[in-house]
Amino acid sequence: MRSDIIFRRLKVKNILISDKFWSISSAVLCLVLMMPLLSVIYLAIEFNWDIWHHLIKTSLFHYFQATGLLLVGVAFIVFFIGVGTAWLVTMHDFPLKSSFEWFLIFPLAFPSYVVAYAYTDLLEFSGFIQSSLRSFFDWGVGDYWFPEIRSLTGASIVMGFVLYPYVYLLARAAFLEHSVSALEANRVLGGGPIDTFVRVALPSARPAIIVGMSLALMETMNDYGTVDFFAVPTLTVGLIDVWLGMNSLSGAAQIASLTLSIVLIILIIEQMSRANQRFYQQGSTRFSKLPIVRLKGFKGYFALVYCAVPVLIGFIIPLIILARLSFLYFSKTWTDDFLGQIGNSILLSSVAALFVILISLFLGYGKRLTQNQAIKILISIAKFGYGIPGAVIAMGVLIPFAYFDNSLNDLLVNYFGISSGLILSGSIMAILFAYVVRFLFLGLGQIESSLEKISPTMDMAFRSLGNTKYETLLKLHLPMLKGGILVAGILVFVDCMKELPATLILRPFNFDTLAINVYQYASDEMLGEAATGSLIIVTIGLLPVVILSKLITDSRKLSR
Amino acid sequence: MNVPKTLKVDKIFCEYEDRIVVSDIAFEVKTGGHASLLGPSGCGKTTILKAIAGFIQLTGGEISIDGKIVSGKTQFISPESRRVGMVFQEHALFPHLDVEKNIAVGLRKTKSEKKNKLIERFVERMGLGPERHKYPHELSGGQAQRVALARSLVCDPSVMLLDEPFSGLDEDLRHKLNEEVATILKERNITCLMVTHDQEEAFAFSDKVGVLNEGRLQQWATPHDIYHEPKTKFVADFIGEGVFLKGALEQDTSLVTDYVTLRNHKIRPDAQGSLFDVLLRPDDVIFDPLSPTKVRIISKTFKGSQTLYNLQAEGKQEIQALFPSHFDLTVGEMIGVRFDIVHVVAYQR
Repeated sequence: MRSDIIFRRLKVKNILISDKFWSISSAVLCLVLMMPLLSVIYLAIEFNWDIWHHLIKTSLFHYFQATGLLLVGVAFIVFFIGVGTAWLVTMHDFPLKSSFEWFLIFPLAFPSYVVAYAYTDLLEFSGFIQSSLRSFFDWGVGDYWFPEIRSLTGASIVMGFVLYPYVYLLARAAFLEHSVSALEANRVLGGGPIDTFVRVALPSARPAIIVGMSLALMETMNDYGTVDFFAVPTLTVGLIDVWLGMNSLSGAAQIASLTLSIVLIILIIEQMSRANQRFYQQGSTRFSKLPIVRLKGFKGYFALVYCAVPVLIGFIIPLIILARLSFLYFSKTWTDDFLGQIGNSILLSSVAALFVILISLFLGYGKRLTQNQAIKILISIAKFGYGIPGAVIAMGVLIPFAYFDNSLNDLLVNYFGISSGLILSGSIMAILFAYVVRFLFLGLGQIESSLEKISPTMDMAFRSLGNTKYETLLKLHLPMLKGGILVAGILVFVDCMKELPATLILRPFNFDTLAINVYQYASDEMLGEAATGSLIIVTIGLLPVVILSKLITDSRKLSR
Repeated sequence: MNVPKTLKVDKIFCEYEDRIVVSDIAFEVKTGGHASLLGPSGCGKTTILKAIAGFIQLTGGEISIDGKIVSGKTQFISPESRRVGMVFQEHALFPHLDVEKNIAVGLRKTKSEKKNKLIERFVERMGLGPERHKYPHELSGGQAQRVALARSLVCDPSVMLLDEPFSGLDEDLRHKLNEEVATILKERNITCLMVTHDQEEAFAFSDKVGVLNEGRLQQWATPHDIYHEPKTKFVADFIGEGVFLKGALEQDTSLVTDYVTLRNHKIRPDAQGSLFDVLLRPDDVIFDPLSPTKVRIISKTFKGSQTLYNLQAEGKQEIQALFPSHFDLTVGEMIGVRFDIVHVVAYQR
């Protein structure tokens, strides 16, 4: 349509200060943000047969096997819990259903490593359950068999029960946006409720479910805390072992490239499904009245249990364990050092959130204003950092930073005889940069969708009512972006508070955060001391969960 | 209190990426006058509105409001200083403000006492009383459009521009709101230019209509003249229904077609022997059982009070006719018709 073209042109002419300047700086910024990714790829291209030979001979197979099995296990769990609960709460009525609708997302507040620590405390040999069993049945050591939580299966279960909300949220949204007529048509054609679920609801929600599963699997690839603690040798564990343990940067880069290719496959599947999602949801009537089935008697209780189990395992039980431990070990943990770590975490996460917001605003407007397709694509690629595991990003940050530091140092030593030491690579800057690369998606996504709501005609209407360009930015755009900026800030802040692998690798000497504190106590088998820090992380993690559950209750109001 | 405010568009040109989208367009809307620009999508009509509002710069010509040049070679007044009101198809209400605050956006510099009075008056006039504290997403299409209109009117604009203001609404509401808006604008004596692709809407709303095609103004005239005396074949074709009869100008200057011979035309006699396309509107054909001209009914479309028939005499061109629907003639039937062509519109081939 001609008018669309003209609108786009108008944006450039009237809101922008300088079109060219903005486009070029957006492109440069994107390239800087892609630097970690590019340097890992660059390093991996230097194919070294010796390293490969060694890796294949020793541990590569184990890394692959563990990663593959973990992904399959997590995928299996998140699918059955996520889709099942979403279907139950959107299409049925049963006891406590409306509470479950938002309660089901609460496990998102937990980083999986914290849940892993909690269950280890509960289920290990000296834990509550085994001790109780022994004293009750009067068993001795080795008299009985008990499943080992610190195993691949344990890791799959822990991650599955923490990550299923991704699938739940997306599947729920897809079910809600269903074309009611398609569901009803199948019923009229003689299909029962289960037939309708399998033949109509599931296929049309498939893209959304796949997107949710991809997100969960990318989080699985990112995890270091859980698999390290449970001694599951995934690629991420391998990467850090080879790099820090065997001191082989190029070996680690090879593993990183393998990790990246797996992530890339997941990412491509995700992006393709997102494109499909738009297609599938076309023409559907949003929030129209769904044919709700009332589940009575046994069926109702079954639904109740199906929804209660994930909430119990993924949220309530670990929360109780942590609260108890924290209470017992509080005086031991609550020290000046601990307060300092909380301060570090909050400062670091706030600054990262601020950076992400500023960069997102810059790129968001850049994308809105530019005509250049290449820049738009570049900005989209820069967002993909969310799929790259933290350990890989850390590596990608460290390589160019170290190169810069070494070059500068050599230069200064050669010409002036002084050493500059490590300026970038051992600094907070490195962590912040990694955070921005990894979490830009959260900020940019929010800001882009807020910007989409400000239509060009709205700009025109505002200006024709007597406002200048700058007044339009300040008095129309800023108030309309405020909500998006706030949500973006909270999301990034919380994810930075939880972030472990990148922080672990990049933190300056003697600089500890809350997540590091928790990780180190847990590694030393001091779960009690790790509890208070974990609890604080979870409490902060509840913030976005509360925002999400508010969105859910709002959407329900609209659907009634 | 309203001083004369004419809108004058003088031979303007607009370009987009070196392509001319508006070319040599000139018209004038008198104080308090209502005009419409009509044309297929992509004909440049919205571009003209944006140029008048100051969102697009001209590459030639000038636009003046009330004798003062707002867009021209050396002068360009920014959109916020033009006092031009604009209403869009998608309303463009500000989603974060309620109805009252939306209306108040343009009154920043007005003292609060006067401001409240003005808002009150427009809320009342537009019948938005119960909606005054609602947010845009809680309004119906018609209410939203009323708010958009109030928001512009409250600033006492010198000229009002309406960009397809009723096209998102359903039929019934469209007619009602069209009338209502026309009345409100008339009572305030506001000069107004509307853009639309709906001819009925344009005819009902305006005293002058401009028909555009491919960036050029085909005709600027009253609705009556646009319909009955279209200047170009495009206008004749675009406006209303009808067919072109093949005709020839004979020696005695009578215009002879398949069905009828016309003498009341205004073709210059020196075009003798030339071939013409003669416009035959469906309402030019009258049902007359006694007429010697017999045609067969090929097909019919029920249109409520009237039915549109496609008719054809043996071996001749197909024509269209509108008869009152209670006649209810059957397809295949032979009927008598006569022709009553008051305005002969003919284009030389």
